[in-house]
Amino acid sequence: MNRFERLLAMVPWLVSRQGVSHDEVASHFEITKEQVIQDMMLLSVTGIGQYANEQFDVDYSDNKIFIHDQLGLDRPFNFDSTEAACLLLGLDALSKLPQQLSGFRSLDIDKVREKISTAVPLSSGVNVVVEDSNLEIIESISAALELGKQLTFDYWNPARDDVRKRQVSPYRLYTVNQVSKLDGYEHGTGWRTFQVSNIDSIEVVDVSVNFESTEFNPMQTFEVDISIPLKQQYLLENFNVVKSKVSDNNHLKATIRIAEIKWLARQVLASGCGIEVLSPEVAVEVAKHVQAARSAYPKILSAN
Amino acid sequence: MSETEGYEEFPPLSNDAVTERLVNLVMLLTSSRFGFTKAEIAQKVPGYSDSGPAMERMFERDKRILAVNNIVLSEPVEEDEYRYKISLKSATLPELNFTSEEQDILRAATLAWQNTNQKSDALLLQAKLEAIGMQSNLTKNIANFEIPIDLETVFSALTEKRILNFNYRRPGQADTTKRKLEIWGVAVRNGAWFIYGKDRIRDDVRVFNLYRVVGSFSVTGEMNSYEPQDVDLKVLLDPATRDEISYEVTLMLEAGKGEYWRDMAGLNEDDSESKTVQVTLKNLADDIPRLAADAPAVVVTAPQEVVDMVTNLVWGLK
Repeated sequence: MNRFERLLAMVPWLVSRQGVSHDEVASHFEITKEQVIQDMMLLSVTGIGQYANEQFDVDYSDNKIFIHDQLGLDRPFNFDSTEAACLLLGLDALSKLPQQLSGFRSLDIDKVREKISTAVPLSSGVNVVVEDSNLEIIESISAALELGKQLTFDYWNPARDDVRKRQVSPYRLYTVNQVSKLDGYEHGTGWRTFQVSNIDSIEVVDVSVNFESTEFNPMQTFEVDISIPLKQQYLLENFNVVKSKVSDNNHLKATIRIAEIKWLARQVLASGCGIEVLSPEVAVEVAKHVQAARSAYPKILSAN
Repeated sequence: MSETEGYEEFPPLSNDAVTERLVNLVMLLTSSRFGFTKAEIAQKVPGYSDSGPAMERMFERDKRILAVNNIVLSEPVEEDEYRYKISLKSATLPELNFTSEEQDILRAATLAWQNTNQKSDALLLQAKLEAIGMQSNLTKNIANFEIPIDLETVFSALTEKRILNFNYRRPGQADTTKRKLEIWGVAVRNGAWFIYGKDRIRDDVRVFNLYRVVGSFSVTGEMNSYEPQDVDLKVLLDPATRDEISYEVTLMLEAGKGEYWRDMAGLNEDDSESKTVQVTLKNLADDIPRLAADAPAVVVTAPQEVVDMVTNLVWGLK
């Protein structure tokens, strides 16, 4: 957002909110109060001529803003390409979510799309593609959340490649990039996040939710230092990176946060061992996993 | 020569004097239905110092900035002279009325971008919607996009039907290749973000994972220089259809392990026994690293070509 774009959007917004405080404007546009005052100062010197009625007339004293003459700029300009795409993609994402997750009827979302269709400079080309909405599982989770009951389900943990029965007090159901997730308290373990697509054989059980720890506390993670060849720095996209910097020897050093050493070992193997673990204790554990994997593919010894 | 050299860049806009000139220009051009000549604009808008070539360049640049913001100047010719104006009727949002439910939907659509680089664009979108009557106190981020890439140039190329240029790294490869894409669309699928369209260099329809774009995007070419085609996105974005080579492989699965492969093999029974299964790999870019990561609980035993691919990964030979 540059200042010009902000001013064009701000003027009609201010016109529709006469007397709004400097703080509210700053909060809404996520700028400082000083920037709000500077924006008002700039607007107050704009206009189309020298006469009073040709000047933009704004009063921003006493921490309140009144626009007395906005020189015809009381309606917002059309959405630009980014705003239009954001709006359409946001609507498409909502329409592809099960109603239990979005809370909206697809009929209403369609009506909104129809109403704005004349105002957006884009009619197609932004899409949210859904393969499997896991509707039955989402319905069960939604029911448990509404009733305040616990859930049991089989959960496949891709990091460990195992399936275990879980008993969970559900806390919240949400999506990130259309991937549905459940946060909940797993009894006997602690707070966990579950990917809905990895849940199977789910049942609502007649036991009230019980968050043994009252404060939501995501799964514990810890920091690990790794090194990656610069030419393979794309591998970082798989990690939660705390910090990274180029080291002297054409490598990139990074500090990442992980929850399980086994998961990191899988990343090392999948990367063709391009990732070197620098944290000594973790490196020893990862090396054990790598050695176990190599034992399954011994032909390399004779081949090389 | 750098990869982006020669590409057209959007003009920077950081100077307060430029902002003031642009606001004045918009006010002037919306104030009269007859419009103004360049000479009149130069005289009335502070910042245009004269009506010579310098003014011409500044004005053309300003027109471009306005166009990026979807504010298009009409340029009627009268008495052999262009008169420029902005029609408020066509340049501003029309009267739109929304029910309270619809207002919540609009708010939810803007909140979806809270955790992205487009957050500030979404704030302006929200301000515009609120200025035409959207009132919603919704705070829950329902759709919740997360993408660490700035999509402004992508959306701009898509809307203007211009060529999107970028460098792309294919899965499993460190080197990048230059792409010139007639961008037909942006899509989100299973947590991943894609762009798709016709790759002008390869003269074929291609799909690109946005996380594998290296460096920044740029846009070239005339507006409306191509017509996007309809595609079956489910097919286009399906990893199984993106790789031409497939392999029938034999896998040994430890008891209680290899859930992904058991599912692929259609095994529905109890997984407490070790098994040997046959599956078809259609997405080698993802499946070979997964096999390496699953070892030794899952081991591929045939064909040798696939065994070698996995072996190379676990021994760090490629």
